[in-house]
Amino acid sequence: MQVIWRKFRQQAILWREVVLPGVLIVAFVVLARLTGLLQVQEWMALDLFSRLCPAATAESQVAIVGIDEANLRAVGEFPVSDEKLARVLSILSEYQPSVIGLDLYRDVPVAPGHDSLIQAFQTIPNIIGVETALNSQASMNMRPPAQLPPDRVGFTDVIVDDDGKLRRIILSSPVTGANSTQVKYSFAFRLVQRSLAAQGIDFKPSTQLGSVQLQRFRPNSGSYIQANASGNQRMLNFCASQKLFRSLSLTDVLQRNFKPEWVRDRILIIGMAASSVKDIFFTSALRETLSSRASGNPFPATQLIYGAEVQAYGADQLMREVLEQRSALRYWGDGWEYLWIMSWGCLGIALGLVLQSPWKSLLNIVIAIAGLIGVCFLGLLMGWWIPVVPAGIALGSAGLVTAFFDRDLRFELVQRRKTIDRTYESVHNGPLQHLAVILRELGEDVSSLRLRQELQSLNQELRSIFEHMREEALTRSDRFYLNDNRILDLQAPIAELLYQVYDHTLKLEAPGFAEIQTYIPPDFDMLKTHHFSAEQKRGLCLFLQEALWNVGKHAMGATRLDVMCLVEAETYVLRITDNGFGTNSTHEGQGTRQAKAIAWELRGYYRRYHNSPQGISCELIFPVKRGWFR
Amino acid sequence: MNAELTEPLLQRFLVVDDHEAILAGTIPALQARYPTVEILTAKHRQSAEQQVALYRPDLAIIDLSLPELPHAVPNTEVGIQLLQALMHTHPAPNLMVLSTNIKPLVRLKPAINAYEGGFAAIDKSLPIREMLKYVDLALRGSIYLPSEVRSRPEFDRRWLEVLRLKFQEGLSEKAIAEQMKISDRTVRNYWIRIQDALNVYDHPHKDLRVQIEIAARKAGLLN
Repeated sequence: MQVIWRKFRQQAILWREVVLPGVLIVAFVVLARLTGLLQVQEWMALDLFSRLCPAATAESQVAIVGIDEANLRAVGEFPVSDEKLARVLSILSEYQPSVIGLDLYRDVPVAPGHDSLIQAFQTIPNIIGVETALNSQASMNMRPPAQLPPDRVGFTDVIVDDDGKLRRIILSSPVTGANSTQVKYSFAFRLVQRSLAAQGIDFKPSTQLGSVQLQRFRPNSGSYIQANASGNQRMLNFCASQKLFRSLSLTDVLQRNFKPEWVRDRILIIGMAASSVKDIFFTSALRETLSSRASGNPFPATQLIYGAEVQAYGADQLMREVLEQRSALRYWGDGWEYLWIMSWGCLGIALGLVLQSPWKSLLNIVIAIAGLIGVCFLGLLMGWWIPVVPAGIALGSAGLVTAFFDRDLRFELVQRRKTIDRTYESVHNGPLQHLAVILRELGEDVSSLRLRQELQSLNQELRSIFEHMREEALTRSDRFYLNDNRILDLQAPIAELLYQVYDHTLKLEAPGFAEIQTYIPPDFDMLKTHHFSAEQKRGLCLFLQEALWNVGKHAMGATRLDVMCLVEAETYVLRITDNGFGTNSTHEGQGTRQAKAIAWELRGYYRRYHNSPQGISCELIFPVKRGWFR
Repeated sequence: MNAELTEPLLQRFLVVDDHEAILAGTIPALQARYPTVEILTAKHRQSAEQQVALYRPDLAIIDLSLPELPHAVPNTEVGIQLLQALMHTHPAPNLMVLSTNIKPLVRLKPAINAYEGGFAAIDKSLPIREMLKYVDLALRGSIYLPSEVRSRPEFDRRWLEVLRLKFQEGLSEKAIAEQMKISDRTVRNYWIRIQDALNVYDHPHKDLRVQIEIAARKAGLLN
C-alpha cells in the first residue's frame, strides 16, 4: 500500500512539473480562441483548404449573363439602356430558364425604351429584381424597380468578415421601416424559391428543410466569435463549388450565340462583370473567378468576385442544400470544438511525455499535425468545418513545451545525481574512513561495546542518506521498484540490476524458498556486452523477479535453485530451474503473459516446462544482437 | 589437504589504500602476525599495478575506493578495475578487499567464485583482529564474502562440475584441471570452497573426499 502511495506521489510530482506547463498552454489556446484571437487564422485556413478542394464535377443549375467592359464598349453606353435590357430579357425568356435574376439596379429609367422594359417586367413572370435593404440608414438603400411586386424582389446585401473577405450570404432579414418591421428576402433566396416553385417545391427560409434541420449561422458558429449573425445567414461552402459558373456575355445573348440547354431550366443571373463597376468583393477561397479569368491572372491568393457571381454561389448552394436536404457547410457545437482542441493538446502532451528524446517528440508532433490537417481537410471535403488552427497550435505548443520541460527535468535529475555521487564520494573518503578507523581501533572490549554499536548505526545512517538521495534523483523511466520500497536505477549495468533483483527476491519469505539448501548463482556478467534499453532492462528484471517469485510461491519442497545465464548458439538463455513439487499449470496467468511480452520485446521466446523427476524450468531465450559493423 | 605447504613460502603482501590512518593500523598488525613477510604499500592504482608486476605479492589487500593517480579523486570504479586486473595476473594473488563499501563486489561474484586464488572481503570498520582472521582465510584459498554481497550459501556451477568429474566420471585432480582448462591450484582451491559450502571439516580419521561426496549426495548435488 505504502509503495503504491509513494509511487503515486512521485508520479504526481513529475506530472505537476512536466504536464502542467502543457495543460496551461492548451488552456491558453482555448482562451485565445474564446476571445477571438485565432478567428482570422481559422478563416484563412478554411479559405486555404477550400482553394485546395477538387473542382466540382456536377453541372451547376446556375449560369451568369455578365456585362463586361467589352460589352459596354460594343453597346456604346453605360448603363445599358432599358431597351437593350428588355431585348435581352425577352430573348432569354424564349429559352425557358427557370428564373431570370436581374442583378442591376434599375430604380430609375435609363432611356431609351423604358416602356419596353416595363412591358418585359410585366409579361415575363419569372424575372426577379434587386434592391439593397439592410443599410442602417434607409436613404442609402437602393430601391427595386417600381414595376416589380415585392415577392419578385430580393436584396443583394451581404456581410463581409472583418478581414474583408466574403464567406456568408443572407437569406432573409427583418427590416425596420418607418412604422413597421417587415421580413425581407435576399436575391439568391428569391431565385431559388422561384426556381423550386417551378419544380413544385415550396421553399421557405426557415431552417427546416424537409426533414433536415439546416444549421443556421450563429454568432459563434464554427470558428466565428461574436459575429454579426443578424437575419438568417448561411455560410458559403466554396470547397464544394470549386468551379466557374457558365457565363454568357451580353453580346452573346443579343446575337443568340449560345446553346439553348445552357439556359433552359437554369437560374440565370444578369449582372455586371466589369471591374469598373463597384459591385465587387474579395475572397481567398476560390481558385478562379470570372474576374481573375478575364484579367488573365490565374490563381492569385485573393480573388475579386463580382456581386452577380456571389449571388450565383449563394443560389447554387441553396439549390443543392434543398435538393440534397443537408447543409453545405456544417460545424460542431462549441463544446465539441473545444473538446476537439483539448484532445489534440493532450495528444501533444502525451507525445512530449512518452517519447524521451526531444527529437523524436518533434518528429511525432509534426506527423500528428500532418494527420490533423489531413483529417480537417477530409472533413471539409465532406462538408464539415473542423477547427484546425487552434487544435494544431495546442498540439504543437503543448507537445514541444512538454518535451522541453521533460528533457529539462531529466537533465536536472542527471545533474542532481552527479552531485549526489560526488557528495557520496567525499563522505566516503572523509567521514566514513574516519569512522572505520575509529571502529577498528575500538576493538571488541566490552566497555566500548555500546559506543561501537552507536558508531555502527551512525555508519549505516550515513550510507542510507546516500541511498535515499539517489533514489529520489531517478527519473520515472529509470525506476524499477523492488518489493520493499527499494528502487533500482535502470541506468546501472544490467548484470548489477539482475543480481540485485536475484538477491532481493530470494530474501523474501516464501514457502518455496524455505527448504532450499543450494543456490547455484547465475553469471549475469555475460550480458554486459549487449546493449539494453531501459525498457528492456525493466523487462528482464521483471522476468527474473516473477520467475523467482513463482519458485517461492509454488515450488514446495525445493532444495535447489539453479539460475542460469548463458550464451548458447547465438542466443542468450536466462533459465530458472527448481526441483520442487510445483506443477506446470496450463493456465496462462498474468505472469506468463508478461513474460511473453518481454520475450517478444527482445525478439525471443519464453517457455516453461517440467523437469524429470521433478521441478520446473522457465526460460527466456533471446538472440544475441550483433552490431552492424561487427 | 595441507595445500599451504606445497606453496612457495609466503613472501610479500601488498596493501593498497589511500588513507594513511588505515595503513597505519593495518601494517603493524599484519607484520606482527606474519613476521617474515615483506609488506608493500601503494596509495593509488598505478603504483599498485607496478608493484604487483614487480614483486608478485602473495596477498593483496585492497580498498575499493582508490585514486587512479596520486592526488586524484578516489573512486570505487578504479578499485573494481584494479581488482579485475589483479584477477587476470599470473600467478593469481590471493585477494582481500578492505573497504567502507563492498557492495559493488556483487558484480564480480561469479568471477570470484571461479577465481584461482583465495578471496575475502570485509568492511573496513571491523576490528583488526577480525581482519587478520579473514586474511588467513584468503591465504588458504577460501572465499569469504559478507552478507551484503552474499546473503545465502551459494554453490557455483564450476564447483558442481568438479564434483561431477570426480565422483561421476572418476577423474583425477590433474584430469579435472585439464578438462576444465584451469590450473591445479584452482582445482585445489575449488575443493576448499566446496568443503566450506558443504560444511565439511577436516577430521583425522576420515577421508576428506569421501566426506565431501557423502555431503554432496545428501544435498542433492550428485545424482
